[in-house]
Amino acid sequence: MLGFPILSILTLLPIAGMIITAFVPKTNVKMIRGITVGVTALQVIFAIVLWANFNGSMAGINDPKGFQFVEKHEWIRISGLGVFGNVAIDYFMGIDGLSVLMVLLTALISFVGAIASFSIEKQHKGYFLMYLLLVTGMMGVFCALDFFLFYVFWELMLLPMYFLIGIWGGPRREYAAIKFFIYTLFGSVFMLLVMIGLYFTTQVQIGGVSWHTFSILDMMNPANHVTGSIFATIGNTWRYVGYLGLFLGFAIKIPMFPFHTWLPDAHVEAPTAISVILAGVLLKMGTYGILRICYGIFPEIAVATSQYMVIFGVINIVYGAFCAMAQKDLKKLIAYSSISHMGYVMLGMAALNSQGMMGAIFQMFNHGTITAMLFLSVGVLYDRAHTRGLNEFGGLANKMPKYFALVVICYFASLGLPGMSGFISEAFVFLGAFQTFQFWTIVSTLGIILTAAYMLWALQRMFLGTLPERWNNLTDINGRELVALVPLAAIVIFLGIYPAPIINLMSTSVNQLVTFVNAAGPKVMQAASIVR
Amino acid sequence: MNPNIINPQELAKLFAPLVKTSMSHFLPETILTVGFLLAIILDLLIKKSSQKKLTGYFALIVLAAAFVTSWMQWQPYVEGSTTWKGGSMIFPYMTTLIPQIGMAVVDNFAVFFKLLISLSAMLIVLMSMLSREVEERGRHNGEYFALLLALTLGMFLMPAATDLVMMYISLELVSITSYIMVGFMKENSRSSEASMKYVLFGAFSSGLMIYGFSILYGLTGTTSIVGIQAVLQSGMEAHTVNQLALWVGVILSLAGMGYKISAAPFHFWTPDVYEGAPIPITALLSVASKAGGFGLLMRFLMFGFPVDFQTGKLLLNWPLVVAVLAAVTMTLGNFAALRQSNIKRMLAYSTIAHAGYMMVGLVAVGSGLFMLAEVRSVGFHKELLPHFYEMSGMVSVMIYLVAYLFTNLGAFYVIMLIANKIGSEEIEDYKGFAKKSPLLAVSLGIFLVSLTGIPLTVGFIGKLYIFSSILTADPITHATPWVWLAVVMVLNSVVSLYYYVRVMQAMFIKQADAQTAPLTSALSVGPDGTLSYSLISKIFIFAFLVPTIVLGVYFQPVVDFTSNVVRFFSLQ
Repeated sequence: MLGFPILSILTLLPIAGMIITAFVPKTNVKMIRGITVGVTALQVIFAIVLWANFNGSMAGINDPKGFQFVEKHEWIRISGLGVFGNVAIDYFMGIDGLSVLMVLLTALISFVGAIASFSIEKQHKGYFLMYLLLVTGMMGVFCALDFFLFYVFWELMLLPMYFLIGIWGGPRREYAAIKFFIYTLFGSVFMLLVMIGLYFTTQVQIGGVSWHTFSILDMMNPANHVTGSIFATIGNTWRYVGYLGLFLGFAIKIPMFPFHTWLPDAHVEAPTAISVILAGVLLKMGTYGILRICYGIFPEIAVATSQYMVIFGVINIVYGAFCAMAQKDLKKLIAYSSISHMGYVMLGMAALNSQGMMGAIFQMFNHGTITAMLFLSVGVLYDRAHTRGLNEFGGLANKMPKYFALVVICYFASLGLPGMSGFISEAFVFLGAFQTFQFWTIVSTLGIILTAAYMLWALQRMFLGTLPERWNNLTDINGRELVALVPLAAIVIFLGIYPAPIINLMSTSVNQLVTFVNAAGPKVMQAASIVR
Repeated sequence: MNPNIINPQELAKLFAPLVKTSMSHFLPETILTVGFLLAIILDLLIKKSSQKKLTGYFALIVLAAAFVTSWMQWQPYVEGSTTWKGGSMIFPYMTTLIPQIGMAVVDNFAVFFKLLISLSAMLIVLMSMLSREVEERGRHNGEYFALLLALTLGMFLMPAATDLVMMYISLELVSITSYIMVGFMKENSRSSEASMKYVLFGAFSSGLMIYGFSILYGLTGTTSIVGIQAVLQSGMEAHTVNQLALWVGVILSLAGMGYKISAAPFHFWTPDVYEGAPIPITALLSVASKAGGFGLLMRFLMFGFPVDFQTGKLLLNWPLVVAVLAAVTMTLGNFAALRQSNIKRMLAYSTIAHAGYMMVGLVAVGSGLFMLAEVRSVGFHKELLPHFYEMSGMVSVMIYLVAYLFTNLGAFYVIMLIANKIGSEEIEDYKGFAKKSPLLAVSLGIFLVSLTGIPLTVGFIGKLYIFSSILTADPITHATPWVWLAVVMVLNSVVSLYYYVRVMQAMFIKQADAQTAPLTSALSVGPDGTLSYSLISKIFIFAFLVPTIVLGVYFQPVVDFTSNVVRFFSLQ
């Protein structure tokens, strides 16, 4: 354990950066950029410290003692009134194998995004203030273990994201921004209702007094449930409602078919850096939330409904891939490929076994790095050509050789070529899913072929063939863009060859989660049938 | 000598101590009354219209005195105390039924509302002194501030009233004064029209209300709501109360109160009046007078028609009526707000929606009363007593009112500052405003976010508590009957996001174009195109902004305070 509150530092560093930025005159663009890059670079350093000190043998999940770097401070303590009971809200942060990868990913992608933000051309101060606030929200979501705190961070991202798309986005930015905002809020208000229900359900003893609490870990333990309360453990159809309420909020974020329509709009209109953040980190919050909260608190419903979740996962994979194939705009193509790739995550999660789950989490990480690269590469081209039409390019390979080499790496990583990280995670997902859902896994492998098809077809249309005259003055990728892209490419290749460091980080926790869900599921179901 | 005729001197002797104690309980109201009269005299003494603002400072002092004296009426809660220390009746009279009932009461519930109302009145006075609309009619500023004191007096009496007659008087005092204040800018045809509409609607609904009151009196033979409760309780058991007449009486009474809180279907006056009135008055109507209305309504419903503790039945199933009205009110308010182009009109509809949200808390009050009775009828109330089921709804409404006070007043204040400079309240004219004054744009943005109910603002805490109170489970059956209402409410808050965001969109995202209103000539524009505001008007924003954010992050004080208000009710 470290002697300092590393999770708070990771989460609140951007706020400190915001305060400093606020005092910088808005004309001093270099300084403003420098602060953001510095803050996110510091975050990366702290994330590496965190990684080095992380103990992979501690499980976490539902065991408070298994969490690491825990910080727990009293935030709100209201002693009893009415049914609100004694209210306890904590500033409760901690990570386990489930979240450590997401924390690392967030730090990495935030840094990359900060570098990519150099191409922003107006209102720099406002942009970087919003950007830093967004980073705080993302980091907080992955560290919070108190549902109230989690919800606060979850909602904290909405406003900066709205403005980042709405002010610095493309031509249809206002529409895309408000669509994103309303979709996400729609999901999260149901999460709020379920959160309140869970709060009434959960009661723990602190110092001989019973307190209602928002602690996610306490909510997971059926022993803390008040008998007869709305989400109490046994034989309660309300638990299905609760699970679905939470799931809706998370599914919109993933985004799961049929709630995916905000994503292509948001991606196409968002500036490059924000697309990188959106695809790299924000989408992971949906799947992370399902793993941490839905699976943790409602394990028996997760078991009962996994057969439906797998169907939605497969729809995401295949439907997303077909949509991607039909696109003429490169950014839209990648947006739909995100939908397709997040389908693999859902497929792996629904399998409810170690391989599938591990594949899902690894896929979350890999999708974060690979899609970030894809969007960065689009940004590189768009900054030069000011268009993203697939059919308007051709023969760029000779014109921009260094760029082409990087693009090939990320396209091949995206389509799951062996030797790249994407292959390992997809293989794990299929391995896991095949044990539980053979038919659906076979259907979903169609996605691999389709992904290869649209990726290679895009590559062919843009980089091979003859170069149209108007692109004769395109320049190759520059140093700043390389700084953003190369580390990601290195990670993708390294993890493709040697995934053990990542697997070791999470395997104990994943096994614990799988055991917990599978053990709690049948037990609770059985008890429910006895009660009926 | 006829023994039935009491000697007037003896009568005076009998009542002298009562009047004396009553007057001491009536101190804040007395201060306001005297202040009102003095303000009129002060207005007559001041000749120059430029000096009329002095009345404003005088009003501020009077309101501060009222605030302090109200604060002194607060009775701290003593842990473990079991005796009723809740309140003292004002102007009591004896009846055979209940030993002592009175026109009004001083208890922590009333004190809470008095504090809330005097605080918002003080903020309104300060706001008015910075308002261009009010300043332009400088000659009449004296009567403006005097009337504001009279209005505050009426609002002080509303939550304290325990008698139908007192309720009516306080409501009319508020109404009639606000008619005049709405029409304050009488050269402006909009303002006059708004005032006229307000009078017509107000007269109609108070007519309905007084008719309802008369039916209640006819049924029970008393005008005291405590008396009404007692008569109904015995009458219900004996089946001597005509249910239909009771329903008609209650629903007609609700018309008058629903009009004050602008609940559907008595909301039609709201948009026109809010649009036409000077902005400080709009803010006052939307916050203080609504708070008073809620205080009155809660006392009327809670004390007049609670449950029969013997049978565990509600004397009247009013929560259902209020629930339906709440759902209709918020849905109507939100959907109508979507299409507004004038920000004051939009906020008018949004206050209708917020009234709907607060009525959800009112439903929880009724629901909690029902649960309490159920617990008592089962007979193990001793262990469940600390749960105070009926209180959760009251606490949530009060927390919401506190949240709403800072947020909504703040929003109106910024709108007023903007209108001072650009002379327009059209959302279209807000285009690109963030560049003209970043501070104002960001503050208005935060207030709108708080109105939507997004975390880290106090608006979220208000919504959180309303949801919590309505999702309370029945302690015996574990049923949660009002989930549908909570779902209607969350869907409504998603709808509301759209129109609040539209304002932010105009300010931050859109650019000013040819159609945007040109800046009026009187204002000062800095070299970089920013509007300059006086230091005092900028600092004053923080009076709203700081509570909005601080109470959103650390809301324990508000909850503790409001909880202590209602603890007293559980001690009877």
